[in-house]
Amino acid sequence: MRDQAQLLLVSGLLMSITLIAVTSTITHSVNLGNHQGERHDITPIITSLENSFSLALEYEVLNAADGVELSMSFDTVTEEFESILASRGYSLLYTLTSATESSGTHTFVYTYELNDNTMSVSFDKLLTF
Amino acid sequence: MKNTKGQMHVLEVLLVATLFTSTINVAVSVLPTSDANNFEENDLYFTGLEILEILDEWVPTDSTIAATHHNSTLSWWLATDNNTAIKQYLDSGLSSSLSYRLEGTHEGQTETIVDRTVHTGPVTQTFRVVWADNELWELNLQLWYGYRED
Repeated sequence: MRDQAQLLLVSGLLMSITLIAVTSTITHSVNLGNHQGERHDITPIITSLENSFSLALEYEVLNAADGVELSMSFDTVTEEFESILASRGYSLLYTLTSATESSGTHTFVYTYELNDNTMSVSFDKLLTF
Repeated sequence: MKNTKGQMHVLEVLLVATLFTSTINVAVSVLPTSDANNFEENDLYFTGLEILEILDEWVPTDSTIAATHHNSTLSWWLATDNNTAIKQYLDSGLSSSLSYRLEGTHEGQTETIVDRTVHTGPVTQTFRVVWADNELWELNLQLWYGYRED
């Protein structure tokens, strides 16, 4: 009776170890397989944002109605960019640090973070026009 | 006799566990994991991103045109509705085994820049955001492997 109990205990332990090993193997393989052969390069997206965002913001600010705050113009433009990128599977977040206007010169200090669900990059920007 | 029987039982359990683990390992290695692991689609996606990026970064040789269109040939051609030039560029830049369709959305309106019937099979969509003619354009380039119509 005691032998049977020991045997049952050893068998149970072995099965548990096997289950843990199998689960870890599957998890590891699936994680590897999901990203195998994939290329992750967000440079084209960054150049697209770098080329167009500043121009879009400048146009929005210079054509805004009287009384519209600079931060509101910034929000309008960033919402459009963030929306387009979200529809393409990228997460983009602009954060305004400061926006000032002095003698017709506008200065924006902001950061933006771009994420493609695998890698994330963040940039600190200073824009003057 | 009883001891031998017990040892055999342990060995049987070990054997079954090993076989089970091996089977799962082989299955995981051989079976496809997910759509994310599609090399061809991934390759097409970056081909599209890069060909639009190169045209956007290509500075027009005429300095006046370059200054007007923010040093971007893509912006210049979009602003001047030069769809023929865009088509020529994409036709020569993309592999002949690829076909494509290019659309641009600006101010809530979508217009077709290069019109081709979209393939019924797998199609990869890629994009670029461009500032042209005081408007934000969202270009949508659909790419697929197949015969390219004129």
